[in-house]
Amino acid sequence: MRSTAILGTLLLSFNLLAQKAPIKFGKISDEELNMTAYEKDPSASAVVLMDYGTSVISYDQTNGFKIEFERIRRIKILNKEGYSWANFEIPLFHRGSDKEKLNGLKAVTVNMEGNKPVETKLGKDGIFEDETSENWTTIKLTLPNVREGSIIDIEYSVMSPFIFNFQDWEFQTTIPTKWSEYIARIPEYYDYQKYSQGYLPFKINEQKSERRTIMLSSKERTGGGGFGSGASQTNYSTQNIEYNENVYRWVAEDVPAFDEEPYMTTYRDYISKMNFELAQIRFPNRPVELVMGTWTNINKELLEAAEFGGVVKRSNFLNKFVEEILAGKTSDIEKVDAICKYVKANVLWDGNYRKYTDGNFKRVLDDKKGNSAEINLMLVSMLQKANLRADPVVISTRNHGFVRQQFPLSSQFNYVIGAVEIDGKLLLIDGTDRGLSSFMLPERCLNGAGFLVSETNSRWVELAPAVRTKTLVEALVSIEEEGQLKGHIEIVKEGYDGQQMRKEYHAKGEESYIKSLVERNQWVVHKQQFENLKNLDEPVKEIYDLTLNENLQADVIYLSPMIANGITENPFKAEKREYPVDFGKGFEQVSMIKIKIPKGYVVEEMPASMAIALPDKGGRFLYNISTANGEIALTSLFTINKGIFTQLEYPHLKEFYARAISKQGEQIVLKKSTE
Amino acid sequence: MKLTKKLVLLSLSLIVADVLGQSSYNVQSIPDELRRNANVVVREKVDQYSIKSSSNATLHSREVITILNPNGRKHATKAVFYDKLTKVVQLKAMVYDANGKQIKKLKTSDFEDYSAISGFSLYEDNRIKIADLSTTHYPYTIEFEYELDYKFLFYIPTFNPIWDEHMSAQSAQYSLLWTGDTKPRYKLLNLEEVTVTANEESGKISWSFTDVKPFEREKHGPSKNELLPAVSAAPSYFQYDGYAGNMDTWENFGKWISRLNKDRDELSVETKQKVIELTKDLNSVEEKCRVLYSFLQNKTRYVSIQLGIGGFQPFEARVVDEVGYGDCKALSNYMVALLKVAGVKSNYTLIRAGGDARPIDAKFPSTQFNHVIVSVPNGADTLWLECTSQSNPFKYLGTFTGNRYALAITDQGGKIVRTPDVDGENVMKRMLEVMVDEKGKGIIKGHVSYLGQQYEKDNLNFVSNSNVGEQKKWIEQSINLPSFRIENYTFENHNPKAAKVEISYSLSADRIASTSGKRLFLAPNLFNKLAIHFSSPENRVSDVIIEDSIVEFDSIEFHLPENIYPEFIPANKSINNQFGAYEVNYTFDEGRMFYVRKFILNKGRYSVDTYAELCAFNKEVSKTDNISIAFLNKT
Repeated sequence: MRSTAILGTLLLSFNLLAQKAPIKFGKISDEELNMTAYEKDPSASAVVLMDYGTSVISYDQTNGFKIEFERIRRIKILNKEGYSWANFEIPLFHRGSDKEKLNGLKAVTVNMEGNKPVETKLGKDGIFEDETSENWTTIKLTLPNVREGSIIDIEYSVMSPFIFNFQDWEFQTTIPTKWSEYIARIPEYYDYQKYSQGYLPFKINEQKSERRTIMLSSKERTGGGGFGSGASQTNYSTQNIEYNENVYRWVAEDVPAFDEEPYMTTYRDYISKMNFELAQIRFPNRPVELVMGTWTNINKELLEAAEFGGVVKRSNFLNKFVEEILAGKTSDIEKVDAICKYVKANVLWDGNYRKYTDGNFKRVLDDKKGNSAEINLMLVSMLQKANLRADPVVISTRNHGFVRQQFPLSSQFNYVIGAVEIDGKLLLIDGTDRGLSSFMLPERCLNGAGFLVSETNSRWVELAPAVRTKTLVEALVSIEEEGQLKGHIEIVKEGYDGQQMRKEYHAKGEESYIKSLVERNQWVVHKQQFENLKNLDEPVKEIYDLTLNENLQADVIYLSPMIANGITENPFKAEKREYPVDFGKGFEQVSMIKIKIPKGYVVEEMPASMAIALPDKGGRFLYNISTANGEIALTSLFTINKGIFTQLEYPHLKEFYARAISKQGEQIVLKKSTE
Repeated sequence: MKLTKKLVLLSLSLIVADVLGQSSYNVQSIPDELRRNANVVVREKVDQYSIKSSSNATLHSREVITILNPNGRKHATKAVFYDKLTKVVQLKAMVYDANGKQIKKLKTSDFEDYSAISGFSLYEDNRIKIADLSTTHYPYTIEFEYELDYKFLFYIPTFNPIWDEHMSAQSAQYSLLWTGDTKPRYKLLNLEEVTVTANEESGKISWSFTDVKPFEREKHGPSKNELLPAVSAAPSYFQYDGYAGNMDTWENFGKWISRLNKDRDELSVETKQKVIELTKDLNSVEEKCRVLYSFLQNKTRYVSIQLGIGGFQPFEARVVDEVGYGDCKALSNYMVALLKVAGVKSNYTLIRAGGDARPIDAKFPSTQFNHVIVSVPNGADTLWLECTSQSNPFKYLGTFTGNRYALAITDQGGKIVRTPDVDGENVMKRMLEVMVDEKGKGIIKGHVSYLGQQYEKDNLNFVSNSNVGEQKKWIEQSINLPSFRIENYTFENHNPKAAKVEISYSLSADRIASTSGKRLFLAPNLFNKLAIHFSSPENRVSDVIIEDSIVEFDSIEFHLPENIYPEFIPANKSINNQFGAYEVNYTFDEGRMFYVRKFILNKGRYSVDTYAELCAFNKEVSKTDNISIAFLNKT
């Protein structure tokens, strides 16, 4: 008899990294210590002088492959506002008995005192461990003795058994970074999709391959089998395994601070960053294990996943519900609407953004609550059971960032909606917001494109709003003899404007809603009426009889004709824009205002009509004013046609707003006629 | 026959019992007057706080609330907080539909458990168990029951029969129980509109609230704390994490704090020497304070770490000395220690901080504080030091801790003191010189100063200590013109000498005035138009409370294009009333127009009877602020 046991001893793993860290912990130059401002950005409150990280996948016989991440970071605090950079967090993942381990954490504050650098090391009392959530622990630290001028060095490594969780690297943060470098060493067995994002170029971007050896030692025991053959015998042997290691190196230098601007999706979309996603595992003599690869694969995986395609396909108990819901419904549109309404009425969104279900639909219906996947996959499942062509669409919400179609990574998605094809037209649906009609997506979903998951026709679909967002104001006003401006105004709101209005109305109640309207516009409302507050399929309408707060008794009357729906402040004040403007959707503001000229007055002066447009049909502003039959008729139309404007288009957009605002602010002059 | 009758009766009574059993949670039984203006109705609430000993108490709470509509949904999330000294003994929840049928049941393990660190804190040992009990069909009813075991006796949670606006209560009961001589003190608050009956027996007192109607907070009206009926209670003898005390009087409460802080003011020899060196040539208390406050601001930073005696004990001055950071307690304790070395007697002072914080009840000694500052008696005067800010001007408290009661911890125990108001200095002064051409384009040169609380306007106090990019953004946001470009600017922060910022800028703007045919329209009040805050004089129920005074001076010199004249000159305006004052003057002189505006709003509480007058004042100011003047060409 022969028994074999492999003894785990890692005799040789790697050569030392060819690229050594450019700085050594705690060894700080006089120049760094004496620095008082950052030349490239004098406004900086702190600067990352060096951020250097390496991630290496290494092997040992006990644990197999694991990722070792090492990092050293040096920060210069320039003034008190930069003190928050003396706090630092390290998130650690754990699942079951596997966990990421923090090793060799060191941190030090170095101050110049007199002419001498003085070190204060981070002690135990500055380190805290917080059980943040089920799978995450956060190590928090705060450095001692931080002052203006301090240098802070932090060094640590994290050993992770989670090969899928390869550390991403952010080259940019909210303070400037002088040098940021990341090295990834990955054995040929692991294939990661890597993609960089952001608006800044790398200084160094290189890749090479190195030969590595793992020496496995094993112990074999023979003997003890036959009659009287004596003691068993042990043989030691070693085995060398050679493989290629791919080495990547990225360096960004003089990275400016990231500065938030209005109309952005999320910080994470704009900063410079390198992302990693495990694509496949290829061990010799073993079939390739595809972790990620192509959209086709992702499509297949989603279809097969129990918490996605599986639950949609099965859940036959829903048939009974579908039958009940569809009783009497004939057209496909009606059917979709009915199912959507049913789901919204019976399941409340718990606020969680998910692409997988946590439980089965029975549980969801019992609980009357579900995450976005549970609600929308159930919607799809019911539509399919109604024999409609419905499929799920995985998307990334606006706060989760852009989707990059060139990288087939399912982690790019955090949410799922439904799509249903009717008469060759694809309708996108979502059941999480009861304030929206069946065919409107919540605004959080309007983010580029989503991936439609289907057995026969998976593809990208544009997440465009299905309805216009528009506010239309029609007003008829007249100047009464006592000099009051009285009028009848109808406001019609469609799309997201309608949603907004309904939300505000329901949250405040009618009385408070009117109150704030009055305060905003300085009106006195005599009579109000609302239409379609509950009927979400039609635009919501507000009708008012009111007195506008004006005292217009004079020989010469100056009158601002844009009594409502004008733009009062330019949202774009900064001279320059670093990143795109993302409205998410186009929109339109239309005002049609008629003003009766009071008896005995003539129009002395009127603003000139005007029409301007943004390049490439990005937007249009039209201001048309005329008089006829004793009335002044004004039409103002302000349209933004697209959701995203690049930073190059920014000056146009800013000027477009400026011109519309000044035009809308112009006045009419009425004069008492002399005869 | 007889038997049958009996059976019928029996089955009838069974039915009745069954119906009754459900109907207690049936929403039909809520009276209309408690539904009107309500999002949530408290059907029944029974809280019992039992003092077992001077170091142990329990709270048993059971509440049944009906959520009437989506606006009440937030109240369907139920949570309990706990920590090392507070144990959750029991926790469960049920949800019922409109008919009172149970549709969901949760036990302790169904609640999610999180660390409950507040956003600004680095570390606290607080945790939370939380569950969202909302469901789809309104109305629905939630039953929530829990018991907490406190391994201390220190604070007693305040009881409220309703705890938000648009909330009513059918029945709410609160009992305080005690053993032996641990009887707590208590106080009932805001009971004007409420029916309550009290019942006292030996070792127990309870209150019953019935039919509490909902209220709505009005803009600038009294805060929730002035409107919510409440039972406050506090122990006399107490024990917290091994530290015993008595809080019958502020004096005694202060003594307990002194004990927590005892011997925590040791400093290193080097620091002592440094302090002596810094202060040895200074004579006045104020000068010593100024120098040491600056020393503190440069040496330390604020980090919130809530540890030690439930977050009440500061870490030692020696530690702050070493690590250079601390929370409000640690930094204040450190400051007191520094001053002591310099021979200046100062007091660690407890306060409730926050711009809209509820004032503490100075007549009811109990733990009501969330922050610590330092007060330094200086003859008849007192100097106040906020030790958690690296950038506050010396002696500046601002809206965070100014103008309120606080508890100074003196050698003789606690003493109620009052922090000063910065009133009278809350002044914004703006001087502009405007060159405008016949197309409405032009250049604006401005100089603006912000003093006192104006120093906090739109976070100016933070921005003034921030970077130049933020400062430029702040200036941009303070200017409402359709299109302009800042050519240059300066931002002068007078800190630490004074709470004052001076800003100068020069900007070019395309549309200072608008043209229309032969007229040029110019609104002389370029940047300071008062919005309408008070309108619709009808229906106001409560007083108006103006928390902070405003004093604003604008003076603008316009250089007009040649050959134009005003078609009409608006009348000057001057209003003086109890709310404040408003003055506007227009003067024309050889191609120039001078616009002068003064606006004063006095802080105070104005009775609801004067509301119409206040609305009229607001409207008049707003209207005048928006006047624009038409100019015509002479040729």
